[in-house]
Amino acid sequence: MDEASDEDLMGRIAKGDESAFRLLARRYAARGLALARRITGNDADAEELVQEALLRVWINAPRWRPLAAFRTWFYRVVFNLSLSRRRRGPFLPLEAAGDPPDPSPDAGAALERRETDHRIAAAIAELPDRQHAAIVLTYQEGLSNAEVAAVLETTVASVEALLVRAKRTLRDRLGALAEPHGDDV
Amino acid sequence: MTLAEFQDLLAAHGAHLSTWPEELRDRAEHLLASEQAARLCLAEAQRFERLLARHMSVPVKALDAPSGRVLRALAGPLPRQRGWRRFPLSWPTALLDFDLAPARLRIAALAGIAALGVALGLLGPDVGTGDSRLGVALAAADVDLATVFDPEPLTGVRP
Repeated sequence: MDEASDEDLMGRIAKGDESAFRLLARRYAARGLALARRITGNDADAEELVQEALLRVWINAPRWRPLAAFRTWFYRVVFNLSLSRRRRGPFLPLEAAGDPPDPSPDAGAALERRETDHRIAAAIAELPDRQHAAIVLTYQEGLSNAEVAAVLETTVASVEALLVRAKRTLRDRLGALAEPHGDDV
Repeated sequence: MTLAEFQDLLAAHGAHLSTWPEELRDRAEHLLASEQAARLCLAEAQRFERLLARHMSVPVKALDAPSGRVLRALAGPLPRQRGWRRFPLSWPTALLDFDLAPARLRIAALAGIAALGVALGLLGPDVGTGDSRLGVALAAADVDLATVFDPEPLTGVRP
């Protein structure tokens, strides 16, 4: 059953097959967490949201119709839940929590890289919700523009416009970091 | 294709021309062959995307523990599924659960019904309104306002 497609598993889940659900949950828990963490900026919230999203998969499976790939549908559920949670509370990029000091010889370079990551995370986090989502889904999840459009329930042209605006804003905010040789830190 | 168009397309479709629509890719390659500035834009876009991708990459191991917690939380008994199978037993629930996918259809149906309501309200027959207004006006004309605000004859209480 491990090779079964997501859609096949959903068919079995619709008939109440718990083992198919647990297999699908194993496939998607980490992916959902990565997306939810990036949108909410909070690990605990992300775990709670992904658990809820997976439960929704189980509960609503009999009504699910394969109009789109399961993956985009699942991302849409996680994204919508994460967005609601993000709008309820202040957002802190994950990197804001900081890491413990690193005693290794190249700790200076690591620190510099963390600061770079923190700046990028903050710049991305400040983007409007849909631009933020378009960047995360494209560069973290590796979705195509058409898949991002399916997740955000919009058109491909709108996704392209979101990406153009988001990248323009990021370049402005990151300044020298976005210029040539800026990533050589 | 102008340089500005090329820059927008780089942002919209990414810095890897192999993923572009064929027609756009041909025009872009033509521009790249002829303009040094376009080649610089492409190199810069590729570098910027590497920066984003590097930042966005999540180490798989970092998600092992939290995804394990999520899966353990789902290991217990699962709740009852929601679906059509209960229809004969619980028709009100089935009606409330009615799901027209995709969501746009639901929104369009709701908007259509609202528009129909507004249209009926504005254009529909104005039954009895004129008469009732006239009736109220006539009734008001018959009332002597002094009697309305006079003290009650027996108790002396004012309205």
